Amino acid sequence: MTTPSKPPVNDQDCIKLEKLGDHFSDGNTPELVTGSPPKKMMDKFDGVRRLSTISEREPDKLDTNPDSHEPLGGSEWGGSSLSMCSDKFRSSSSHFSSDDSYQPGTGADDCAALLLACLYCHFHELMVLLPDTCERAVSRCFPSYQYIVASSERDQQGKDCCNFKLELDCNFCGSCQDAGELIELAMEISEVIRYFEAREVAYKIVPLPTTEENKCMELVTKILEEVHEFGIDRRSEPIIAIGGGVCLDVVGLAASLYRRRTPYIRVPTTLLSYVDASVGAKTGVNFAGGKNKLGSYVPPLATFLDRSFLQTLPPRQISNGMAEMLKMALMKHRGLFELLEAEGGKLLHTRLQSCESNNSSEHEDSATASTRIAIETMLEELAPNLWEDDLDRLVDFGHLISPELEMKVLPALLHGEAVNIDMSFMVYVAHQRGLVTANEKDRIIRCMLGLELPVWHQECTLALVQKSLKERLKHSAGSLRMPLPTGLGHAEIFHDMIEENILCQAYQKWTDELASSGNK
Amino acid sequence: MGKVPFDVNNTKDKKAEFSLVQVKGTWKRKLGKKASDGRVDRVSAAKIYESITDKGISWTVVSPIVFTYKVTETQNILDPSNDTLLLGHINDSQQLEDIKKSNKPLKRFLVIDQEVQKIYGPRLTEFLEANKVQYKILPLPTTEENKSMEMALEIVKEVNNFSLDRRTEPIIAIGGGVCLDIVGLAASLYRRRTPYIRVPTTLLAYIDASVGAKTGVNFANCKNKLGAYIPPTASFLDLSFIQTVPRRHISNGLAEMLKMALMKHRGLFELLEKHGHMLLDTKFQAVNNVYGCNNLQAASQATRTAIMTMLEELAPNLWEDDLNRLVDFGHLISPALEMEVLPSLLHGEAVNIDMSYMVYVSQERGLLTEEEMQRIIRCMVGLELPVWHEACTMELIQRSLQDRLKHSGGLYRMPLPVGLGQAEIFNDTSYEVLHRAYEKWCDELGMSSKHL
Repeated sequence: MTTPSKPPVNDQDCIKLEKLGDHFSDGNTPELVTGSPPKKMMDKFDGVRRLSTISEREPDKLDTNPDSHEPLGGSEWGGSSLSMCSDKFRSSSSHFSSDDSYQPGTGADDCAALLLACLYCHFHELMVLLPDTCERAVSRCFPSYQYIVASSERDQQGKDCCNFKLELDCNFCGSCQDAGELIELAMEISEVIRYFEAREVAYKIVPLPTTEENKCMELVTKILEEVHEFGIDRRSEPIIAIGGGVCLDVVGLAASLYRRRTPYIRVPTTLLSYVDASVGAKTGVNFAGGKNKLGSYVPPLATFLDRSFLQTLPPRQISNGMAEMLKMALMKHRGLFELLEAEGGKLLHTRLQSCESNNSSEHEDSATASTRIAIETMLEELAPNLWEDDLDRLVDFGHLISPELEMKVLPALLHGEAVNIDMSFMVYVAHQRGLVTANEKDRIIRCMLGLELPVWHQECTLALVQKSLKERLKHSAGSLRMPLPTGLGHAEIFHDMIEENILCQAYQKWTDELASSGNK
Repeated sequence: MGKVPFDVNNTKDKKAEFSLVQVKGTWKRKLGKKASDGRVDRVSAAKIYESITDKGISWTVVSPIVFTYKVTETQNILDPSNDTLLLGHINDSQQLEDIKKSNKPLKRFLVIDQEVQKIYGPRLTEFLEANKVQYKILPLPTTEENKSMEMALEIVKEVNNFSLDRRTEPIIAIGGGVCLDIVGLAASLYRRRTPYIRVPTTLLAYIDASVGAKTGVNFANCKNKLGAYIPPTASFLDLSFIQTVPRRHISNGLAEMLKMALMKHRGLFELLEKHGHMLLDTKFQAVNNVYGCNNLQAASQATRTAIMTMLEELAPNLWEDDLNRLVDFGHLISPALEMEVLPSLLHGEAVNIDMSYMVYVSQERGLLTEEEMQRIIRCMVGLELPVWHEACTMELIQRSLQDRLKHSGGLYRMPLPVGLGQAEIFNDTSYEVLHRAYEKWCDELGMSSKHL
């Protein structure tokens, strides 16, 4: 095949690369990668090959063992940032089947090289690669991509030219979920690698698909094998986990088992893990169909909270996290509740990023304040009861019915969404028992809706509620231990089973008033 | 409320200490250490330290945890009228009374070593039936080769199917060290922490595995690479299990007793010196006409002292925060040796060979007299333990000590006896000393001494 002529490398592309860089957590403007990326990158990106294990579904959180940073919500992110090259090429092919799974194979290196060349705007290199790899690239990297024959006016480029290149459209990277994930991972890994190399740290990155479905002992074992092979000092070299709740839980368990206790660090990348999973001591995996049936209460050495990770979260995930913030507000902090009530929508849309203009202000903005309060209130409850010796826990609010519900409709509801539905129902119970006024109840529900959280679900039937409460009674040493709000921002724990009539009335009213808001 | 004012004039980092008080079921932090008013339900021992810099806030949580566990001697634990196995772990007398009065049958899940099941199985079943316990017995081949996560998960699976109360129905482990370790780990993982009880059936488990907090399984061909520091709710010690232990395994256990004696108890050393052989012959049992009623005294005296000295060392350092541990004596070289010749040396035997060599090192350093050293070796031989092994080469010793450095924060932390029943930890033993000691050790013990 002949080598196609190089398209001009255009300043426009370079600028857009920098913009891309702004999405990164450290906020620094990254330097442009120079040199010859495909080969250089390949040396570093052994990890890319592991992408074959990433599941098609919610690319939830990726675990990494010392380094790689895996972002959330692949396709959305990928699409918008990769339009840098698209001005030149428009593809008429837009047929993608999202069900095709990514086929790993020996072409994986080529895929990575290809994408990275594209990524770092070394389009000329991409062009060079394509003639040799295009067919494989298409079938291996982008199995959903429809093969197109170039239109006739392009033939002047030369015979035997790889037709494909002319129809190449970087937008396909955005549309194809596989490619989008590959690119994101590649970019994020490169950032983390840059960080460690600048500090001359010996590192090993282990990206793993840490989804709820994979949250099992096998994943823990895989991490342990990697840790063992890498070799860390017993006390001074902590394992670092970067990801959402599932990731942090799984790595935490692996770390607590290795040598009976290995220090580890958590870096949460979702809002839910930011306010919840990261601050407690619990670690765990699912077992025999039960959530978190195996685990430990070994806290991390440290948790580092950087809100800029939240920028790459889809809105639904932000709402998901806000449910846990709301939980703490309802249980013990009126101020936080009022903040969420007044500014919840704004926080949601800005993804809890602080406004630039407030940097020099002496006041804390709402994003900073709300996360700070959520964490402080959580720490207050967890620190005196780290090992759950006391089964009366305010933080259980929203967690009496939601486990059943969540498992029943898995994966339709995210954890925080299920928690919110539980809380919403419990608010009606509280009202029925005269603990909160109608006005307070309505304010709470309105707040929830403002946070774009579901407040009702058809699968949350009265039968499910009753079953959950019976289970609760059974497993909490004979007492219901039900936290209920007793006003806005304070609560109490109730020990006796709720009277049948109250439960039914509350359920009826809850359904009457909220069923129309529908399932989320 | 959307903004919280900071003190903008204070350019230094702000630091604050908060205690935690509970008011009407809700925990709140309170600045400083001053006592709170009467409305407080209780005050926690935990504290939160807050530090504010221009980068943000940093909270440090200090949450102490207290483990309480019992190590209880009993006799005839499988006698149906002895309720130790079922209720011995309960501390609260009210709770105990309530249970005894209640008609509700007890529920227990028991994991028992396969070999132990063969000997004691029927009596165990009889015990449980007589006490109307709802039970499930899971016999497993708990050998060193099987000491893996797979076996621990198998236990968890069965426990999960059986359905135990989260707090009040402990899992019971009956067997040797391997069994107790595996069940301990399974119990610490299930529901993040499930109470469990240990019933050791070998001498080694009796004085060692049963009294500490460690649990674990092997991983990637390394001993005890995975585990936890979760102690059992209780350990029940019944010497009568030792009757059915082979002689070699009793010696095996005696090695660990000797270790404690050499490190910190002259009295125990003298007891083993004088009565070691008898204890072996009688298998620590009381009834033996040859030696008269001194038997019971010697057997229980020995085990009690061994356990007490062990508890003294473990209790203040349950999670091994302090890597200087006298109980590491005999455990610097033995892991490598044990793995090297597996399965020809039992754990205690390897430990003894290590200790024997270290005694020569002590003497070479002038910490022990020649006479003391000989007494110790004679005692070991009297306990029918190996005092030398050809696989314990200078190379293996050096390799082990290098490993020790790596895994103990850069120091050897080598416990060495400095007299009979006294020891200290040393970090500076030179190669010359080690070598000279090795030569002497081989000369004196290599040819004639008992070794496997």
